[in-house]
Amino acid sequence: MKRFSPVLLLISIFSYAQKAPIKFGNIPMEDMTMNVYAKDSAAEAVILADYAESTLSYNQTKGFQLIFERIRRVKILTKEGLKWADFSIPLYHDSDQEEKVSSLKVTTFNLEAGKIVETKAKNESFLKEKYDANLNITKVTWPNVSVGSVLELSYKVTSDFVFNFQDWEFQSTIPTRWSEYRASIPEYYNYEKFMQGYVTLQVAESSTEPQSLIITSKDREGGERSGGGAVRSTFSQDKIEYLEKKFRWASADIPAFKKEPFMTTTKDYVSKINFELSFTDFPNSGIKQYMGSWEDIAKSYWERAGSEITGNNGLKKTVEEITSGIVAPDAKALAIYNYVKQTVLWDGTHRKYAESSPRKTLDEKKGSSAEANLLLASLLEKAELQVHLVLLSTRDHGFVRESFPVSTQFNYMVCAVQIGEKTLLLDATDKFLPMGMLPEKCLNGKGFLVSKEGYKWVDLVSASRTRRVYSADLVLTETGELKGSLKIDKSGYHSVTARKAFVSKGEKEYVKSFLSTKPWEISKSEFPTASEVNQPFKEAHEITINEHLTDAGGTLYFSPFVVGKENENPFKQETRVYPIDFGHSFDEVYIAKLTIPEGYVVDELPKSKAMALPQNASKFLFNVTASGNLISVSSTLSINRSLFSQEEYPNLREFFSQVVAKQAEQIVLKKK
Amino acid sequence: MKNFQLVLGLLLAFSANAEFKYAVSNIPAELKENVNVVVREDHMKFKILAKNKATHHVHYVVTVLNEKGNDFASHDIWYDKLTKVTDLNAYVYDAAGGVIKRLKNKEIYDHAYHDGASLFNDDRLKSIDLSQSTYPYTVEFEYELEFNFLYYIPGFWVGGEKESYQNVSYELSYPPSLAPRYKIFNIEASPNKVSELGFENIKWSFKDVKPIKREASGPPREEIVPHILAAPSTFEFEGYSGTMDTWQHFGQWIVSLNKGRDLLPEETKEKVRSLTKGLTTQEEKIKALYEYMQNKTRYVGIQLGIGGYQPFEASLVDRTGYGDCKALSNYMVALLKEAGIASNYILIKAGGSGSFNTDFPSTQFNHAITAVPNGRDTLWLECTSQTNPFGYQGRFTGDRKALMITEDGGKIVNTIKYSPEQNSQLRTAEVELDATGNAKAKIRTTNKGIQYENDGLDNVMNNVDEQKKWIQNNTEIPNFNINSFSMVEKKDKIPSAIVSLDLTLNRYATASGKRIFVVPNLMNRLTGIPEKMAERKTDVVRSTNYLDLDTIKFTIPENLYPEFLPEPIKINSKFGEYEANFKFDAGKVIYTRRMKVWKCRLPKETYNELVDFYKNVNKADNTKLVFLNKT
Repeated sequence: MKRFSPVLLLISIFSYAQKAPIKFGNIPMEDMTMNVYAKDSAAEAVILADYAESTLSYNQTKGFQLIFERIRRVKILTKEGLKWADFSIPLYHDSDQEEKVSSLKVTTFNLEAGKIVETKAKNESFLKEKYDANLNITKVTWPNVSVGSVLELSYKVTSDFVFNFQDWEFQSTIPTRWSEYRASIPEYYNYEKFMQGYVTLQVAESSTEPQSLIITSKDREGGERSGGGAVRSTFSQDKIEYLEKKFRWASADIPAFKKEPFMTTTKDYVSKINFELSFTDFPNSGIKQYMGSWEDIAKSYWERAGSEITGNNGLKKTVEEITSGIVAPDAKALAIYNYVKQTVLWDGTHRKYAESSPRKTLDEKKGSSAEANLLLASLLEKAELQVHLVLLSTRDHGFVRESFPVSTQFNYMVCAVQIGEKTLLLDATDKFLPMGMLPEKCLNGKGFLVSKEGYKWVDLVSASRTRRVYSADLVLTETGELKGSLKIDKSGYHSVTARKAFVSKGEKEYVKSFLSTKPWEISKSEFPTASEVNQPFKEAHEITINEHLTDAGGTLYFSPFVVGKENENPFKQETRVYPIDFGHSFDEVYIAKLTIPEGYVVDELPKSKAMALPQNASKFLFNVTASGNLISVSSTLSINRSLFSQEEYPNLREFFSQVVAKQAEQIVLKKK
Repeated sequence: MKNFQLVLGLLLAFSANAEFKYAVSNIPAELKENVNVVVREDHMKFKILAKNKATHHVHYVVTVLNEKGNDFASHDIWYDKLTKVTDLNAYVYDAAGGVIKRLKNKEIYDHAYHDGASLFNDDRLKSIDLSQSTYPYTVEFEYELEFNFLYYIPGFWVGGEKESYQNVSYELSYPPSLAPRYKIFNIEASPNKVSELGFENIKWSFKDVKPIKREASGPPREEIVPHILAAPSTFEFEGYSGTMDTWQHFGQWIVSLNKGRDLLPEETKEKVRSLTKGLTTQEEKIKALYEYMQNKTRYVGIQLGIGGYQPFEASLVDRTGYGDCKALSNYMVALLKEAGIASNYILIKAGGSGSFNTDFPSTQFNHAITAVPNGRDTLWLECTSQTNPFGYQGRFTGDRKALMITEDGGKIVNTIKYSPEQNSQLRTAEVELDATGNAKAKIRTTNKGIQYENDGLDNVMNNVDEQKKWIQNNTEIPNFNINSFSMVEKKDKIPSAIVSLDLTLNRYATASGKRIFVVPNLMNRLTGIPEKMAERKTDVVRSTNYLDLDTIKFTIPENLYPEFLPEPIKINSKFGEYEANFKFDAGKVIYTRRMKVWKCRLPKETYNELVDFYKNVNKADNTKLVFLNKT
């Protein structure tokens, strides 16, 4: 336990004049001899300390620059942990701004015969890669590393990108014993800051201190203009006094971040502090807003995109052709939506700003998500429909925080069309999406609807429910064969997945993959709605199943399900740290009519069951009845909420456990 | 402005010329069947200029018929500091064959290539994506690579699963003194030979090649697809020259690269002496040194220029404690040499099927290991893993051919193949069932040989959290809670892992009224039956040897008795054997299952037997036990 006392000490004696929590190369012996990290005995490595400070520092030629200085100390505990001995520092640059790394120190500390032996990385351990036109990567690898080594790193990054105040992650995929971030920000710069994640900070403090900087200006006199003579320079120095805000955030004993199933992006869950430049306020130049209000964001977005929607009058003709003979607004919208989906190839990139005009996108027949959707909006507008744009953040880009008006929270734009009372959200990047559905990646909380009038928040939900309905009508023959028809209707996201698979594999391969784990024979298959994207995807199969039942000397056992049951609980872990995110609600329905052969009677049937979680968040109905030689089975599993909290996890897990067990029950027939 | 007109003029001239050439209507109908793309033109010309200089000209035109073919409209051109890309042009044509787009410079994405394993290499890519949304369309790429070395000559493959080829050719051009070698496979056409301006030219041309599909459990692609392998005879790579007409000479060149790179500092020599002191057998010494190497080093891939083939010096590995497969294997050889043990540096094609063409000496390897030759007891040492058990050769490099580098040059050798009994999974379980269908289970599974690597089991041995995750993901029981577990590793030459589980199985048995149903096969049910085939064309190839033995004892409540006990099941085939037995004895049901399959290659007529074997096993694995309530 002694190992952790420095942490407590730090908190208790904290003051702003306080020294850094870690000094390069000064490693306590107990960290050298540590074999296992007591707070997480499974850890392959532990970050003993990760400490950085960001300051805005004045440079005579470049003005304020961001200086990020970091020291990180890692202890390697197992062979798997050796991967922590490689490190990359990405450095961005564009035409006139850049990030530079300096004072890079990389040292390995090993315990040899009770003594700490230090190995400094030489040139061969530093590698510079020019990744592409905007990114260089400095890679480092520690020398002489084995299990037990302590690896230390320090470096400084000088950056011209004052917008990008370095965020700080307190949590890593290995545990962290101490993580601390400090920031010194002159009064001229105002950044919004917000914490995310599930770790509470133990230190979060700030103070204001007077600072000064000296600006040297050079005036030239003489030279050409005065027709010869010596050039004389005079230097003048101005001392500028200002206030600097100092921050300190820190936490101890941060557990390793571990990914769980049914999550959005890890970015949303890792404990982290984020910064966004809100405004600058320099003497003599007044306030310059970078992050305004949501009103401002909506306004500036609409200024940029709105004219592209109302402009591009050349597209009118295209719209007339697409909608010729169509009167109803919803039919017009559908025709235009289909046209854009069919005509424009999505280039695979997620964007919120279009770089090409709708006209150009249509000419190139290719574009980013924003370009495809802006074209869609422009065409809809020309068909005299009311259109708005909706900014959103895709699931891999993280949650949107409404209290934090920053446009970088968004990475995607879709189109909203008003049809009567209904607002439909449209995205033209996926031709298999029915009208009114967004791609699953877009289902991430709320969207920011922008129009000429301003903005409002809208729920990112789809117009149609995701549902899979199996209907079987099967006859059990005396030889033990089940024969008959199986229909499958897939709606919502199931229809998108199925249609994609159907088109990419072709009918034959699609049927083959459906059969892959089933010892069935299919004599005929039909896909009546395969090409009708706005209809459920329907399958109808004529099937023969040989292996479905067990004959035990005149007693027949078989499962009421031939398909469509939950075979195992999707939630394996006993406990859960983070919420469960299904993305959207859904239904799984199985309905069967089973005709039993002459000469047999029902001996036993599974008992009916109905259960639900509070507020019907999930629901399961199961019913098997017999009448004469006909057995009717119906099973409906509904998840009615997309998000469940971690506190609800035990219930949800038990719910699925009961579903799996119930659906495994057997029907028993006996000879008359 | 003038320049612009000139370019436009050229563009028009070009398109006028090509107008009809790439029209989709020029594709024979049969080439459009069951394909996503038709490769219209695929012409490769490799020209040797000197023993360290060559050019590689590529002209590739492909018609994309539907969106599944869009990948063919993107192209990655690989280069590095010894390779220059010149004269890169690309166009897009519409269905009629008219030019709709010419590649602009800013559309080329130039970036470093990350292979996922190397920390650093100098490989770069120029990536181009010309995919379109209106089908069909045609893209044309043309460029030349200038190589400032000669070592590798790209081969040529004609035939794919979902693509057909219209006009293709492969040409080698060379001064007579630098004639390359080549070998053709599944090709009957004879090449055209021409001499001009001091160069010999040999060219193979193909017309109208339909798609070639590999069958499930069939022979590898190289056995069925027409292809050509080529390699230089004499060559030079960053000042190292050699010949590769035989494996012996190929190996001699590797010897020249490695030469003098095995020197160790005095301190390490001393370490070798102290580590091996007092050890009597050679194997003990090798083990001590191998484990020393494992503890001292780690894998860091850094490969620049000739560094793709030449190891770091042993002294550098010694100082930094890292290196890639070549550097670490070379270091291992140096350590063994110091202890007076002769060992060899081995080149191998690791992963996958690992087959390389032993009849055609050329660079076909992706990995290096170390071997201490001793006939059947040869020891194979994987040097890039810190955890690989001493002497164990798993799925990555086992059961294949390899090239042993000796002072005399290269020699083809075989690596270890384990028998089914050596690749075993032995399981015993006690399952205590209660009247409601819940159960408690104590399970002990020993995975041995390559089954020690099942689902990455060998990779979780050092981390309790990962072990638990492995158990959660790989225990095929519908509902279970882990009460406790342990994993113990036995790092023998044929290693094993013992996984012990104490589980609560919720609702393992399903109760319907007076009956209770149990699937006695607790957690080893076979899924995935090979598809039926109307007409099998190629041999049936099975690649693994293994044996599974499960013994599951069910204790049942006193008031239950089996209504029906299934008959024993025995399934024999040319591909494997299967046996399942169900016994009831003193209130216990004992289920045993034995399944053994082996590596084999059998004629195509046996394919249905393979399907039936798996189908019957699948059925047998799902057999249920039924218990009745006495009361």
